Amino acid sequence: MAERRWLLAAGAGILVLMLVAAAFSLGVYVGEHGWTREGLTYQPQQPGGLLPGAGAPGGPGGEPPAVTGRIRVISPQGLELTTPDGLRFVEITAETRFEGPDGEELSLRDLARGDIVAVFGELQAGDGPRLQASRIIRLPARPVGPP
Amino acid sequence: MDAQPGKPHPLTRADAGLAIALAGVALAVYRATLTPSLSYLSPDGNELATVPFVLGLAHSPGYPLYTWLGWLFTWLPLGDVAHRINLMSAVLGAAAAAGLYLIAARLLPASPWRRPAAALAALLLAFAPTAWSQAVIAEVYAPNLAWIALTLLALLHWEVTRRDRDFFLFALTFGLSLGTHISNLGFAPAFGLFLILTDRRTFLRPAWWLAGAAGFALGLAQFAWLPFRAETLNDRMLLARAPVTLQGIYDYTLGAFPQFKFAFPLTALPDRLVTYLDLLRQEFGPLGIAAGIAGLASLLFRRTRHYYLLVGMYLVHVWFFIQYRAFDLEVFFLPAHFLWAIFVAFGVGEALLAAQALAAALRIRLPSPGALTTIALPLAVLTSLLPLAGNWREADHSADVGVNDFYANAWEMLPEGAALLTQSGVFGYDAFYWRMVYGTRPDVLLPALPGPFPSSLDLAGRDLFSTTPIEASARARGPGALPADLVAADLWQVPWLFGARSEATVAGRGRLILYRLSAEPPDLVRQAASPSLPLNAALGGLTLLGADLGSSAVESGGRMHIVLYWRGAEAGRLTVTTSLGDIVLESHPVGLGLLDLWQAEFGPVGDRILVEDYWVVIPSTAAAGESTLAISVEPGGGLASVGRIEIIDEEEAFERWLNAAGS
Repeated sequence: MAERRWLLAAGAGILVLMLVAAAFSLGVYVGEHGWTREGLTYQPQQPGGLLPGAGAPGGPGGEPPAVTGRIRVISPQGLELTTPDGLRFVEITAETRFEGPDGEELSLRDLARGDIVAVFGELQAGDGPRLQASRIIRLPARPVGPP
Repeated sequence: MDAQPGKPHPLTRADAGLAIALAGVALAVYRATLTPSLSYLSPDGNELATVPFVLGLAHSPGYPLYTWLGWLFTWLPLGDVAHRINLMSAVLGAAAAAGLYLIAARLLPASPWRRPAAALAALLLAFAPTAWSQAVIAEVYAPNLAWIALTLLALLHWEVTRRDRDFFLFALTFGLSLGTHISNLGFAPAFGLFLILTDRRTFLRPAWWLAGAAGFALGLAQFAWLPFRAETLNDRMLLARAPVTLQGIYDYTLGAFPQFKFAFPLTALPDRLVTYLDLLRQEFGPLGIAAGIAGLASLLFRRTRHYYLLVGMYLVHVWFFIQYRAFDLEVFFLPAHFLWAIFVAFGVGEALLAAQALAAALRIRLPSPGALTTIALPLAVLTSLLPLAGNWREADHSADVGVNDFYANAWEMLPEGAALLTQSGVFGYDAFYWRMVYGTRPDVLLPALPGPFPSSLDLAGRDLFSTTPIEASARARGPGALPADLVAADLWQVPWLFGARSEATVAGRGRLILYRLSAEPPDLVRQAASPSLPLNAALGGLTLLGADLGSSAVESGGRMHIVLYWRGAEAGRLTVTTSLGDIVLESHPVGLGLLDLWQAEFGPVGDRILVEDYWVVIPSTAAAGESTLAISVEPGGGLASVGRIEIIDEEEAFERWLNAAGS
C-alpha cells in the first residue's frame, strides 16, 4: 500500500507538471499573440490574396511556390512557416537565394518573424520529407485596412 | 466498480466481436475515401507504394516490416499495386482502431460504460483528421499504429499470464514494430518501468531474460534486410549512407537525419508545446482534450501501473517530436494521439460513471447495466458521426486520379525510343512505379533508373521529354535533382501534355506536365492562322481568335488535343485556364510559359498570332455526357466556350491505367 501511495503521489505530480507546462506554454503564446491563432496558422488573404500558386511570384517556368506562409521561427538551418496546411519547415542552404517583393536581393537577416514568404525549392527524402529552399521571396505585407 | 489497480478486465468474445465491427466501420469509411492509386499526398508515398512489390529497400530507416506486409497486400486481386498498398493502410488503420478498443476495454473498470467508452475512443481516433489522412494513402503511419496496438496488447496479455512465451511474443512484436517506425524504440523505458511495477521477481529469472532478448533480437533481425537489399537504392542521398557496413546501418537507421532531432533550444519549448497542443486540438477538439485530462487522472487512480506505462510512452513520444524539425510535423504525433485516445476512453468512462452516481443520488431509476451498455453503444457510434461528417471532405481522396491519368497518357504519347527525364530518387517514383511494377514502355529510357547518376551519353540520339522543369532541377541540390550537365540548359521546354492538378502537400508536386525538350524553338508565333472554330473572344486583354480541337468525343481518363490562336500576346503575365464543365483541366501562363523566352530571342510578337498547341488529360472521374470546353484568362476575366465535348466512359479507370501500363 505504501508503494501505491508513492506511485499515486508521483503520478499526480507528473500530471500536475504536464498541466503546468501546458498552461505556462499557452500563457507565453497568449502573451505574444493574444487570443488569436496567428502564431499557429496562416490563411491567405481573400479575395485576390496571396494564395499559394496564385498571386505569389512564379518560379521557373511559371511554377507556383512549394509553400507560402508566415514565418514563425527563424534559425540558421531554416524557417518554420505557418501555412494553410499547418506548420511547415523549410531548409536553407548556401544556395538559397532571398528576394524582396520587387525582386531585390535580400539575406536571411532581412527576414523577420511574421513576414509572409513564398518558398520555391525541392523536396528531399528522409524520415519524413524535407523541403530545401532554392529561392525565398518575401511577399508584400498585407495592406492595413480601415480601423 | 473496480477501484483498485488490479488485473485488467478480461476480454470476451463480445469484445472481440465489437472490435471487428468497429474495424469494419472504419474500413468501410477508409475504403470509400481511399486514394485510388498513386498520389502526391505524401511526398514519399509513391516510393512506399512501389518498394514492397519489388521487395526493395525504402528510404531511411528502411521499413523492412512495412515492406513485407505491403508485399503480402500486393497479391490482392484488387485495382493496381498502388491501390493495394493504399488498402493496406486502410486495413491496418482500421485494425489500429480495433486494437485501441481492445486495449481500452481491457483497462477500463468494469461498468456499463466500459465498452461504449472504449468504442467511442476507437472511432474518435479512426475519424480524427490526421489518423484518417494516413489511412487512405501509402504511408507507414497507419500500419505503425496497428503495430503499436499489437505490441500493447501483447504486453497486457503477458501481464495476465506471466508466461515466458507470451513475453517472447511481446518482445518480438516490439522488435518488429521498429520496422514500421523506428521511433517506437522510445517506448522502451515505459515498457521497462511497467515490467518493474508489474513483477520485479521476473527480473531474477534467466528464462524471462532469454525470452525477452530472443524475441526482441528476432524482431530486430529484420534490419538485416538493409544490407541485403541496399543494392536496390536509387536515391543519391540514401546511397551516400548505404547500409552496407555496421556504421552504414547505424547511419541509415538510428543515426539518420541528426539535424532533425532536438533541433530547438530549450527556450523554444513553450512554443513547441503549443504547436503540439494545437495539433491535439485539431485531432480531438477541446472536449477531447478535456476528456483526455480527466482520463489521465482516472487512469492514475484506477490503473496506476498502466498510467505509468501509457503516460511514459506518451511523454517520451511528445518530448521527442516537439523538438523534431520535420517538414510535415503532424503525422509524427499519431502514436501520441493513439495514446491520448485511450486517455479519452477513461475520461468518457469516468464522466458516465459520475452521471450514473448522480442519477443514483437523485434516486432516478436506471435500466440494468446490460441495458445501459446496449443503449450507450449506439450512442457512442452516433457521437463518432460528428468527426466523421466534419472531416469527410478533407479526408476524401477517392477522386485523386491525377497522377495515374497523367502518366497513363504520357506513356501512350511518348515516341519509340524516347528518353523521359524525371526527378531522381525517392521523388521519381511517380514514373518509376510503372516501369518497376509493370515494366511499362521498356523502349523509353528513364535516365534516373536504375541509379541517380545518368550520363548525357545515354541520351544521345533519343527524343527528349521531361516531367520536371530542367532549369529548376539543374539548379536544385536535392536528390530529386538530375545532374546539372545532363542536358543543355538552353533547350526549349515545351509543355506538350497537361495533367489535371493532383492534390499535394507541396504545391509544385501537384503539377503534372510533360515537356518536349528541343534545341529548335517551338512553332509559337505565326503570321496567319485559320482556326476551324473561329471565336474572336476578348479575354483579359487578349483576343482568342479561335481554336482547333482534336476530336469532339473523348474517353474519360484520355486526352484531348487543343490548339488556341491568340492575338495581343504582350498583355503582360496572364494565366490561361482550360476547363470542361465544372472541371478545371489545367492552367498555364499565356504562351505556354515560353513567351518571355521567345520574345527575348525573336523580338516582340506584335500583331502576329500566338499559337498554343497542347494536349490535356480528361480526368477519369469525369462523368459521361456532354460538357462545354471553355477557355478563361486571369487576371482580367472572361470565358469563351470553345465547343461541346462528349465524354465517353467505357473503360474503368483501373482498366485504362493497367492497359497503359502494358499489364
